[in-house]
Amino acid sequence: MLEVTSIRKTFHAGTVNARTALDGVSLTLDDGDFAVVIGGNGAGKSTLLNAIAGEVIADEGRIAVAGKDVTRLPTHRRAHLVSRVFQDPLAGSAGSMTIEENLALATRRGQSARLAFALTETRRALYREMLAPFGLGLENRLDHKVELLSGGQRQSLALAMAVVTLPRIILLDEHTAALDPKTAASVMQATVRAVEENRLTALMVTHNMQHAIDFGNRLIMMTDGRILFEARGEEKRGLTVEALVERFHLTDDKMLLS
Amino acid sequence: MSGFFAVYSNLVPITLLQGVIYGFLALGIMIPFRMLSFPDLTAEGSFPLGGAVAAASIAAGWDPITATMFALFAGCLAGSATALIHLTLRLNTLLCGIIVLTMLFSINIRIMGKPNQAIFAFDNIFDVLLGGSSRDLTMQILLILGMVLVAALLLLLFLKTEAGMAMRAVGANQLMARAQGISIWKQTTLGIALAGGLCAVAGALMTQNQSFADVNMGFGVLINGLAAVIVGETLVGRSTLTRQLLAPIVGAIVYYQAISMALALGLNPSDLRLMTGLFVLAMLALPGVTGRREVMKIRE
Repeated sequence: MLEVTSIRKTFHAGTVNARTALDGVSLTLDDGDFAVVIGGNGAGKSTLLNAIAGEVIADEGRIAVAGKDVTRLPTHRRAHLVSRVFQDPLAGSAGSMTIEENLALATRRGQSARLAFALTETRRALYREMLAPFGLGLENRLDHKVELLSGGQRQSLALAMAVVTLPRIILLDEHTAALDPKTAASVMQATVRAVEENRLTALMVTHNMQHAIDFGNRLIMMTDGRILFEARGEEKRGLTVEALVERFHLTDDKMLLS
Repeated sequence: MSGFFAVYSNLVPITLLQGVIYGFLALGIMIPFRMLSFPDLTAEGSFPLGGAVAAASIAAGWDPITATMFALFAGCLAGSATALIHLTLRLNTLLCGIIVLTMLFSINIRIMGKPNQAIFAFDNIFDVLLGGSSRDLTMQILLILGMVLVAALLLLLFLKTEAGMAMRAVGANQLMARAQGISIWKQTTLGIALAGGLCAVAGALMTQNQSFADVNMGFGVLINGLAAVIVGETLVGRSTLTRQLLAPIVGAIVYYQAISMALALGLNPSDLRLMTGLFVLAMLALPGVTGRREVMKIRE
């Protein structure tokens, strides 16, 4: 589903500030995989996500989603394959537009925008159905502007927007990190439900060790732009927070600071 | 005081006509600022461009409606130029506008072949559309008011389509827009072109109203248009799309009445720009008064 082959990315190449963010990362996700990426600051997790999303174009290597080479495609040209929930709850939706308008954009993701009215009663009914499972009452506030929502509500909306078109891969970029623990837990729960119900393939970056243990069928640890350690299936289920912290302590002191 | 009323009431019809014509300009200034978070100065060049194109075409024998369409098209080109310079070179949008409006000064003289062009001897859009009552100011005002309201209605309908929503998403949140598969290039260019076209139509109508185009006719229109937008938003608000689109038109009408009053009260016309500038500054500085916080979102 996702094939990342030996990608490299150096920022500010050729200057004194040159920094290698990705130093030959290869990663293959199968259909339905839910991979959790952990690693310290500067390990390259975000650059990896950005390279898959299209916000960063890799210097070398190849990225393919569902068999299609997207390595050099700009974000908007691969949006029909890849969706994303950002860390910043403000980033994933348009604050000055209403909930239904945001959903209208999301349901047409990657398709060409037509000169047809974006909102119809049929579509509104669909949006209500989409939002109801979150239990936040958003289904009754379709015409409210998104900037009026709380961080948790907004992140739930962003999640609904990211899954509605059944993307081939969904990127979760520390998407609960900016929320309070209770909200984070409910957004995380909604994420797992959405990913499982829709049989999506997911790649989630997190700093939350407990989340890394509890969720997903694969765990990927990055440091200095490389994949340091990978666990899946039985091995991943056997991991504990203590074991992970121990592992990090041995290999990457930076992780403990974050 | 009776002197003031006499002077002012004499001015009302003509300033009302100018106000509705400037409604097109204010619409064209609102779109970049509000819909696309693209603070843009191109209006200062696309307005006289519209005037120059209309005057030159009419003088060359084209009918006034075609001439106005030429102006619209030229304005769209000017707007696209600003947008494409910003997108290609990643320059600040204000700088891109200044470069384009500076170049347009020369282009406008080229278009007319001289710094100004009189079209008194030719039929204008009022003659063509109003026939016998083409000199009737009330009819002129109603005609232009109708035109600008139709333009606003078409815009409103467009902004509610999928294509229009994509454009608004670019103004609201570019990162999100990209992630939804929306091309920032396409939508920005389209939106700024549309805005340039509206400003040029205002220039074309003003030229036909005055039967005269001058390369300097754009001087100061940006700040006047911005003031009109701010006045309109204070009166009408911008909580819905309809209000956001009506605000520039209402604002332009009210603003030019206020100017006319100030002049009738004896304000020196040469002090007008200072007053307008101070007014715009005051409105931008007092978000509490206008109830807005993000008056000027600027792209990186």
